[in-house]
Amino acid sequence: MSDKLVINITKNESELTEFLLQGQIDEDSTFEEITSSLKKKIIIDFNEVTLINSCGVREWINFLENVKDSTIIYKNCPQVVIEQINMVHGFILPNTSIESFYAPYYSEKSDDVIKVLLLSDQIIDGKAPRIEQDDEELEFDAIEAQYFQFLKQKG
Amino acid sequence: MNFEILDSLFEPIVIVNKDNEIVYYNHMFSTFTKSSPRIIKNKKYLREIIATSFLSDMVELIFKTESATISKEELIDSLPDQEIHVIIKGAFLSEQSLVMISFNDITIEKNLYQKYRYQIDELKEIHHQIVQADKLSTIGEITASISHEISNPLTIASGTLELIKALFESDDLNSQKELLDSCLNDVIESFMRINNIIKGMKKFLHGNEDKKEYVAIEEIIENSTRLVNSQLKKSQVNLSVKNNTESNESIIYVNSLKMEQLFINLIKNSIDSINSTNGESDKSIQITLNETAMCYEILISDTGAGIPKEIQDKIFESFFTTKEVGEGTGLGLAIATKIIESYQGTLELLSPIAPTTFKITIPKMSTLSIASSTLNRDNDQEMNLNILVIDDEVKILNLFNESISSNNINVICASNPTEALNLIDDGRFNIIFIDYSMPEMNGDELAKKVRKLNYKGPIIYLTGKATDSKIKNDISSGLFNDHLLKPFNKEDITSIVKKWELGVK
Repeated sequence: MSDKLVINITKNESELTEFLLQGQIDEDSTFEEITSSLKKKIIIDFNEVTLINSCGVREWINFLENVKDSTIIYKNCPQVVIEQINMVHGFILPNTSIESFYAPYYSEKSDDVIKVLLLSDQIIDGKAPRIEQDDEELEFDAIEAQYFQFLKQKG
Repeated sequence: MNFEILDSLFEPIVIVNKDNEIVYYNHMFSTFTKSSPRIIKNKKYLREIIATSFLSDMVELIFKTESATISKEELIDSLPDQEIHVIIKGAFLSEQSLVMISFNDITIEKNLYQKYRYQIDELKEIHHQIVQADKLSTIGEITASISHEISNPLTIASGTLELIKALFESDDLNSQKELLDSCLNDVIESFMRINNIIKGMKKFLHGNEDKKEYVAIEEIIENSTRLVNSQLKKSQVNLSVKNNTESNESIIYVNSLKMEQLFINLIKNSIDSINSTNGESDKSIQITLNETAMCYEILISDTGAGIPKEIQDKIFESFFTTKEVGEGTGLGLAIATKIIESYQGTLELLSPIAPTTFKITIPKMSTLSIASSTLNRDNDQEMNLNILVIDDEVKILNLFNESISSNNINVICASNPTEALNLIDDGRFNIIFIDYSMPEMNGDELAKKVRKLNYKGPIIYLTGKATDSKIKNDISSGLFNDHLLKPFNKEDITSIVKKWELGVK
């Protein structure tokens, strides 16, 4: 069952619009909702994106061509999005930046992987920040050199 | 070898030893398997990460054979929450005695292929429905006049049956035997006529539209005109056919029902155009069949009202019609164009004013059968047998095509020697079948010409006439290698192909 992409406006101010993306970004995704409400600053919330495949990345890169005059901020990027950004260059352009993203951390206590929301500023020298939860220090559960590669992309 | 260099690649790679233990994996392998370093560290063996037997078997085989590379397409369904189609390549690293495995994820390509194939199938179904709707509309329009066509023989049959009844009531039935026979024949003939009309309609509506066959254009024209005959009579339109080709059978490789639909659509348009003039003067449709070296050309001309300049560009578009609502679907010419284009032919308006003329161009059979067999060829399978059949009988060509044409047997047909000689130029044929008696030249004359073109493969005569001594002589002279006695069947063809498929020993 296809989880078609839905784009909703969550904040609309004179110089800023924030969009919430829900569902999957694939070859059928279109982004007219964003291009038709262009503002000086655009915030794109990926929190509810369930999948992005390489065809979706291509559509996204094509879409970025149309919003070159705005400042674009990505927030709440899930692991699937980060993995694609790391694989395909062009997702981050000079006018785009990632404000926050999810990273996998392992809790020994619960023997579970927890997706922790990090701010890009928290990553210093490519190292995962120390995260504590319920008196337990969580262990970063990916390869740092690979996972934080996107922060080196400057567009 | 410094394996860390593999981390910069976007392709998942893992290196294992003889015991299936993971020696190294790159960053992408971790992403691909959704296994963090913590998980991989806890699992010693590759089979614990990707639990599929083919991978273990492949690794085992590479170690056993120490072969350079093995590549395989597989479905991995043992990873969490995903099914991945991959092309797996394994390479033996002889220096370290390890095996390096790379995974090329083709899931998206596979999914897109399935998705678009489904959409294409849907479009095909819709197209089929539109074509069917056009046929129903055509049948609907001609039903009234067809009922008239049926009522004539029905009247004859019922009148004759009355007479037969009267004859039975007469005292001297024996003396009336001759008359009785004649009456019965009349009744049978009348019912045959009715049967033919109904059969033609049924075939037009429900025949197999996928099956291509060798068929003469003359036969297609005859069948099409038979179906619209009642309309022609009703409108008092005279239809004549002029054949300027050299043979009586201009054979093409098409679906005959689709071609009939094309002709019926054009003839119906001509009748409507003639009816719209309301004139009593010349009411005629002329069908002319011409040929060039490569194609057949069919001109359909009528004395109707012509086509105004402002709509000439639109007439081939779907749903464009000048007819009243309910009288036409506006699909006739669009469907006709689609049909002829599917055989690499064209349909064009040659003259918009009286006589309004449409020209159908269709490539000759040899060209079409080559194109069709090339298109149908399975890419994965190498074509390994090309067979040329030269015969002027449609039934023989169709029998060959249906009997042996398959993924690895490509049957090319030619209906006359000239066509055949044009085809024998690159030595691609493994076996050539030649009809012994053809109007243009006999089989032995053609065989001599074929041999002159340096063809050294087997030539087989198709004959019902050649004498035993002639056959013996031609075989001993090396002109041909075998013969197939007419009438023959599928099994005869299959066994003679089997006999000669490896060529002349």
